[in-house]
Amino acid sequence: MLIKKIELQNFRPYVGKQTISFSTDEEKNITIVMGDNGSGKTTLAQAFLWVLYGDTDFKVKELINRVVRDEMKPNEKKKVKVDLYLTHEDRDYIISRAQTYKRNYTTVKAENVEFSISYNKDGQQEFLKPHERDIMIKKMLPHQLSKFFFFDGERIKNMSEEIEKGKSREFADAVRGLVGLTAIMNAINHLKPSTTNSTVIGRYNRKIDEGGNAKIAELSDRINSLQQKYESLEKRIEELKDQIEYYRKDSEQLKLRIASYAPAEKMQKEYNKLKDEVAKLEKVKVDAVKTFLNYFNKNTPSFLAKPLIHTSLKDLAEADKLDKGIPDMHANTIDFLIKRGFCVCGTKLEPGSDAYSEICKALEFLPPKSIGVLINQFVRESQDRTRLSETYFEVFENSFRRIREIKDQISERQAELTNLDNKLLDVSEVASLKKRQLDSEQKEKEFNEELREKILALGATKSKIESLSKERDQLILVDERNKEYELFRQYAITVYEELKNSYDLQEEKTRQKLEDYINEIFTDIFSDALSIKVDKRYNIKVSVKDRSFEGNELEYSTAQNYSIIFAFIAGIIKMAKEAGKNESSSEDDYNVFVEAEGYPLVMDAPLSSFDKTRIKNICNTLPKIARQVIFFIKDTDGEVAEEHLGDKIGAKYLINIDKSFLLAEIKER
Amino acid sequence: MEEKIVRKNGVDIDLTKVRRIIMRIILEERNNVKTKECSDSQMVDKLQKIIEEEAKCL
Repeated sequence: MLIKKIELQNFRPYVGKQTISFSTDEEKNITIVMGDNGSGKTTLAQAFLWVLYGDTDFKVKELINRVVRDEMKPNEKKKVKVDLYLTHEDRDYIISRAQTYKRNYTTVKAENVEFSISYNKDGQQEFLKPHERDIMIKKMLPHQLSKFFFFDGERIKNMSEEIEKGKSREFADAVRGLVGLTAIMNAINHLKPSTTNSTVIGRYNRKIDEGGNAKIAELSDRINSLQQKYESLEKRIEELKDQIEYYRKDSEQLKLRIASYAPAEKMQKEYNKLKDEVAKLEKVKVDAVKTFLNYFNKNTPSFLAKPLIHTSLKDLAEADKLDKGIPDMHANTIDFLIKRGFCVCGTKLEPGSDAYSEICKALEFLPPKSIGVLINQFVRESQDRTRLSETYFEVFENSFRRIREIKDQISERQAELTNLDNKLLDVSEVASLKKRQLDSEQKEKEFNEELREKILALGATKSKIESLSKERDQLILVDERNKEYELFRQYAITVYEELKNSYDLQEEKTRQKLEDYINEIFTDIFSDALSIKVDKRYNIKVSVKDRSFEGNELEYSTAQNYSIIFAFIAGIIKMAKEAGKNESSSEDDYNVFVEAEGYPLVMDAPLSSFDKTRIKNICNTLPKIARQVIFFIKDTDGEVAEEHLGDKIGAKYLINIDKSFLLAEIKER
Repeated sequence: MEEKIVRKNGVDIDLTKVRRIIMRIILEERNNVKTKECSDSQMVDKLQKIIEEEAKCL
């Protein structure tokens, strides 16, 4: 396929009709379209996607130029249109897509879309029928591959993920088609065993049944029904294989992610332990503060009064009356003894006697008349208080220090908890990951069990079909009319089996060749330290060649990702380009029949992530591989590209933009 | 294809003819991939015709 020209009309910033004619020269096969940032290069690249597939990556889906839209009068209609002129398999096509917009006073609404594909046949422009258009687009450039051929540098991350895994069956089919296996694939589909008239073998089966032999018809019905069962089992087995592969990969990836969180479990345990310790320490702190406050309340007055007490005791020690009082004796005790008439020692207390006089003297030193006793009691209490307050400061200091220590321990643990908390935030999804991983494992297991059952059922069905077919075939040969159909049927079956085997072999070879090309191109562009594998689904697996790197996680730089994608696209293009040139290399190799042609490569901002050496490598490699290369490039990269591409450039354009009005203009340089 | 003739279900199949049929079929398919002139049903007609011509050919 070669892109000859694109015409844009009122498409986003491109007002009126603007045209770019791309270089189709085999030697000078590069077209460079340069422009500043925001000048509409990406829009131009998106125009290809819109005209071919009716979709764009624009966030705002309105396509009409703003100035044109704002100038529309009520009920006026304007058209946005893209025409793509291309050559595909020696025929010139025009692919056209137009969207009409109509102003309804305040708003402008999108109306119908017109889509057509036409080609010139004997001077007449023939239009493809609606159902033929999709087939043609699929054949020219399948949508599944479009993002690789219309390469957008800004979506590199998504592309590199997609290129490594998760590509659909349609993607693999699209690649097979591009690398030239479509003819064999179609032949197999037109021949395959069936119960209907839609295939060659199906038609012979029906003709033989129409022979009128009731037994043959009955056997045919049974075979047909088994054949349907066989096909549905085959389909289910393929689906199951896909599902198993999907869940296996999912489970593996989840395991890796969970493993990366492995230290989290230990962290969580440590976190819980610290939390317990903090709770215990808080309790100890509360008790310590309580004890401290009790002690403070009880002993602080004595401690603070100590100098006063000391002074008082000193003064009291010097007073001579203090020792004359009888401790714990009261004047009432003396009055009682006098009234009773004798002392506690038995001496009679008669008024005028010496004993009487002496005991009456004691009344002078006893309460309530005397304070001596009270002072004595005060002195004793003061001495007790003084004695206790001697250890006050030490106890106070120790208690306070203990509280401080507990607080410090709590603070230390809380700091550790905060630290762990931050780390654990990242791993809070481990539980959900584990659940997902277990679910995936369970699904994989269930599908594996079903797969085993289905494979057994498939084998049993096949045996039954073979046995019934044998019985039926013998009956057929008895009937002369059927003999001839059986001859054709057996030829058809043999051809079908041969092609199927050949296709499998061819596909394996094709994939291996594609892998070799991708590795060669990647080495040319980037480095020879990595090895790229292509699996049966055309998924890419990158590994490090140097064994000393084994076990280390492979790191992907932007430049490396770009290079992998470049190598992948260039590899497919090279295969497609060369497939048509191949000659049959052996008797059973039907390579001679594969169809193929060159493909263009349309790249938006492809060089911005590379250093000068790699830009040079890419500029040397891509033009040799792709039949046509179209670069949308910013001016600085464009200058570097021009320096390296030089004589390969067949056409140059510049986009000028009026940023105030968002109007872009394309000019040939 | 070392054996030239194989017997399948009481019918002799000439493997040289099989190879010729394959070549013609693939050429036909390849042509149709390019031109898209024939529908699937028309292609089945063409393939059937090729098989019958070759099988009957002495």
